[in-house]
Amino acid sequence: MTISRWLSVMVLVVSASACGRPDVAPFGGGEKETQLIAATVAVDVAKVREALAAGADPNKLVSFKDNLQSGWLLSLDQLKPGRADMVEIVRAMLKSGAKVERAWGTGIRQVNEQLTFRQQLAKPRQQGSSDHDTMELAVEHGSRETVRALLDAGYSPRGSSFALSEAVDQDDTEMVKMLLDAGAEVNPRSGMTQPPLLVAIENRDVAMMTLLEERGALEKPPSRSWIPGR
Amino acid sequence: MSDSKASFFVLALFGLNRAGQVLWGLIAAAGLAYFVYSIQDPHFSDEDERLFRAARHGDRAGVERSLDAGAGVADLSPLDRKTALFRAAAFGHADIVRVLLERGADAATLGGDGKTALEVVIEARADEKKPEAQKALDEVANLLQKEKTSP
Repeated sequence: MTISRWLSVMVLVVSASACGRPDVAPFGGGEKETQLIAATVAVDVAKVREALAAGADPNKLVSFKDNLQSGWLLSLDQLKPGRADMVEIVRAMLKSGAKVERAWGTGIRQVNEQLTFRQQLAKPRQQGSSDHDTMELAVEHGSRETVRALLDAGYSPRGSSFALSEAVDQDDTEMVKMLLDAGAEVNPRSGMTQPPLLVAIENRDVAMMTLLEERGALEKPPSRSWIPGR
Repeated sequence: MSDSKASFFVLALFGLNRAGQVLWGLIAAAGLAYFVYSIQDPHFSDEDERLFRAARHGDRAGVERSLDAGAGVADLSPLDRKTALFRAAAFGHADIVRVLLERGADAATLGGDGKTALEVVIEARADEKKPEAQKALDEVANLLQKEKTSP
């Protein structure tokens, strides 16, 4: 094999490995980030804004109450339907560079909480930190305003089939419409979660099932297979 | 074509040289992939799709039309490996369940979760709060129970 061929193989290997490189948890938060986290836990919008204005990075991890936390994850983890102050905090963090797709940290979940299969798969990557899909958290906590804020900030729900299925499970028509309008796949191919139509069928939710059907949900998603007749 | 070329192709055809081994290896891998694919993805036509939709919504005319047009009463949904009978039963459409049973649906078929349609209906009935829906599910459960006990 000539040198040029070896070089092209090496370029291919390097570019392939670069494509699959996982995000690395942003460690190294300091005093400012600790203040941001404390203000977020206290749901103090003014202090959160103050910490962000002082340069606190919402993505950065700091040790807080024996856990690795980021202000961004804590803000999403404390969402509740109708809590306008938390949504204000979420919007402020997005404005200050919070990562639209992911939030790092271990969160404030209860120790005895039953983890879903997907959550179990999101194994801690470094020193107990884990990454969370921001849209999943927003949908899980039933916060339409945050779903809207994430979509406005550029979140693409195309790859997050869990969020749509979760919204269907919660029978939240508005949230489902919002996600579908933003491009969420009505027939996701991922085997990680139940497809939205199946969730609606199992819940015997006729209105939701009809809505999904109108948006193209099928028992058998359109095939992209090259095998003829399938 | 020279003799050496001809013998190369003959040997390859029977897998007796390296090219033949690679060729047959690829064919075997493709066959295995197709086999796995066909196990995972049951046969499910567009007409089946219409049948299942009609069964979910209690559309008797739609169910009969799809069955007449070639939808399979025993065909399984790729979603959960359940038949149209499960769909009609779970939504409490007794008339559709009756039509499907008359057309040869097997009430003893197990879904992907290992349950029969009757078991699914009994579970749904236990969760149901609306009296009207409870009544519809009871009717379906009776039908399926009768089918189970009939010779």
